[in-house]
Amino acid sequence: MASELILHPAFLVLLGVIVLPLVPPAARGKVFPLFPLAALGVCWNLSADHSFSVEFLEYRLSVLQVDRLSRIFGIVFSLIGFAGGLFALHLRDVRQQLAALLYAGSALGLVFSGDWLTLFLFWELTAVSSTVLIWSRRGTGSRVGLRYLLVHLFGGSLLLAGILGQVQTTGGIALQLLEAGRLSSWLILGGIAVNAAIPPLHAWLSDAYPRATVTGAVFLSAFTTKSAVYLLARVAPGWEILIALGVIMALYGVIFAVLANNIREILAYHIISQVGYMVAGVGIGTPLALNGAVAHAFSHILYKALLFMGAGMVLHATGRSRLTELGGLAGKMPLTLWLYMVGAFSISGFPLFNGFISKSMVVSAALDARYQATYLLLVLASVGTFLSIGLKLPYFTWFGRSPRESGVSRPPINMHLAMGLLALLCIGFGVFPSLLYAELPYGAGYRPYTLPHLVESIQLLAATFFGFWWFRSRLAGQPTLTLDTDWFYRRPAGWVRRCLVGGVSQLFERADAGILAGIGWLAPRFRNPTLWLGRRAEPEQGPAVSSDDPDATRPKLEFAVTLVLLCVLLFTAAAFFR
Amino acid sequence: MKRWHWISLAVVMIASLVLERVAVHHHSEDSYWWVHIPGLYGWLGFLGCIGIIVGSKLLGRKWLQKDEHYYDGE
Repeated sequence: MASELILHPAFLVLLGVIVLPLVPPAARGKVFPLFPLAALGVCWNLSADHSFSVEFLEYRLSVLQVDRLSRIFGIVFSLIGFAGGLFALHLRDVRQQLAALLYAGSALGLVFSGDWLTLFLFWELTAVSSTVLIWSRRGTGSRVGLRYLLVHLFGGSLLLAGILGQVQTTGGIALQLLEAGRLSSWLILGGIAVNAAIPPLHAWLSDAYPRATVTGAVFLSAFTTKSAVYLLARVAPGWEILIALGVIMALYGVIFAVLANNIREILAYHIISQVGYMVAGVGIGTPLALNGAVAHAFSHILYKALLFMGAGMVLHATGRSRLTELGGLAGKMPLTLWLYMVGAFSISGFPLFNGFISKSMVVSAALDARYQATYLLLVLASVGTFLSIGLKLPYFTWFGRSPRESGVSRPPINMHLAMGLLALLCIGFGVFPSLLYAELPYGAGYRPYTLPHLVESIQLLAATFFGFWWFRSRLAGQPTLTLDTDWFYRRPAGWVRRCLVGGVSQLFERADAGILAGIGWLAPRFRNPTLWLGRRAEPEQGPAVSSDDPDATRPKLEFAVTLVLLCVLLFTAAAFFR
Repeated sequence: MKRWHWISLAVVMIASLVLERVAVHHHSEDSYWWVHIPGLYGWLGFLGCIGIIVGSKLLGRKWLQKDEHYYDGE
C-alpha cells in the first residue's frame, strides 16, 4: 500500500508539504519544483487503466483511478506546478510555498479520484489552499480572500448536498454520469459551476485573482477552473445547457475585459472567456468537441500561466498593475514583452501557437454539430480575446506613454526561465499539434492546418487589428471599477452587517446597560436593607462620613418583625386548632 | 506603426482574400449560406471588434463603471 501511495502523483506533491518546512529556508525555493517534477514523471508513466483504492468505513475509496482523461489533466497540472515552482524559485515565503504545493497536490488528487468522497475532499482542499495564496498578499488580500473562501464554501456545500443525494439514489460513491432528471445532479452541477466560474457564479475569479500574489496568481490561473472543466467532462458531457452557458462565458469575459483597468483583471476575465469554450465543448459532447475542450484546457493552462507571469513581472518590476499607471515599458522590459506576446498570440489563436490548434477544435465541432449561432458567437469571442489580450493590454502597458517616470527593478532570472519554458511549450505544441493530439482521450481526428482555416484566422486577426487601431483611444484604461455580480453580495454586506451584527450587538449593549443599571439600583439596597422601606440611597461617591443612625430606623424594623412573627403565630394557631 | 508594418498587414490581408476567392471552396452540400459571403472573417473581425468596443463602453458608461472607491464603505 505504501508503495502504491508513494507512486500517486498527488501524494508525491503533498509529500512536499511535509518535507519542505524541514529543508533550510534558503534551499526551499530550489526543492519546491522537484515535487511537481516527480509527479510529472509518474503521470507520464501511468497506464490508462491503473487504479488503487483503500477501505474507509463501509466504503472503498478509489484514490487513484487513471484513464486518458485524468492522465492528460494530471500531466498538465504537474507541468504547470513545475513551471510555477521555477517562477517562484526566488521566493522566501514558506506559507505561499506550502499553499501552492497543497493546491497543486489537491488538484492532482481531484483529477485522479475515482469516487465522489475522495473528490470532495480534494475539492475542498483546493479551495482552502488557494485562499491562502490570496491571503498572502498584504493589503486588500484578507477581505478578498474571505469573500473567495465564502463563495467556494457555498459551492462546496452545493456539491456535497448533490453528492449525498447521488449516493443515496445510486447506493454507491463511484463517479458516474449525471442524470438530468435528478435534483442531486443539478446540485452537483451548481457546485461545479462555482469553480468553473460560470456566470452569475463567476465574480470570485475576477475579484480575487488580480489581488493574489505574483506567484500565487500563476497557480490560481491553472487549477480551480480547469479541474471543474475536467469534472464537467467526466460527469456531464453532452448537457446542452452547457453550450449556452459556455457561449455566455466566452462573451461575458470579453466585454468585461474591455472595461477593466487592471492588467491582471483583464487576464482574469479572459479565463472566464476561455473556460467558456471548454464548457461549450463539453456541452456539445461529440468526441471532437470533448477532445477540443480537453485540448483547450491543456493549452489554456500553459498560455494563461505565461500571461499571468508576464503581468506579474510588470507588477514585480514596477509595483503597478493598472493601465492608467503603466506605459512605455517596451524598452525597459523587452524580454518580458516578447515572452508575454507568445502567450498573447497563443490565446488569440495565431497559427503556429497552441491556442490555434485547440480553440479551433471546439469551434469546428460546434459547426459540425450544426450549432451555427454557437459557432459565430465563439468566433466573435475570439475577436474580443485578441482585442484585449493581444492588443489593448500590451499596447497600453508596453507601448503607450508612461503617465509617470519611475525605475524598473530587475526581475530574477528564474522568472524569465519559467516564462521561456512555457513560451517554448506554447510554440512547440502549436507547431507539432500531434504531440498533444496523441494524448487526447476521445477518438476523434482533427487537422488544424488546412488552407480554409488558415485563411479565416488570418483575415479575422488582421481585421481585428484594423478595428483596434481605429478605435484604440477608446480602449485606454480608465480609473474606474466595473460592477459585476459580486455587487449582489458586496453591496448588501454592509446592510446585512448592520442588521445582523450591528442590531444584535446593539441589543446586547442595551441589555448590558440595563443589567448594570439594575445592579446599581439593587446593590445599595442589599447593602442597607432599610432602603427598601423608602429611604433614599446615599450617592456612591458621597461624603466620607456616613450620616446613617441605626437607632433612627430601629422602631420601624421592630414593628415589621413583630408583625411578621404575629402573622406566623396566628396562622400556626389556626392550623393547630382547626 | 511604421510604414512597412502597414504594407505587410495590407499584403497579408489581400493575400488571404485572394486565396479565399481562388483556393477555398465550400463544396459541402450542407454548408450554410453565410459561409459564401466574401471576406466573411474579415468582416467578422473588423465589425466584431468595433461592436465589442462600442457595446462594452456603452454598457460601462451607462451602467457598470463606477468610482474606484465604490466599495470602500463596505
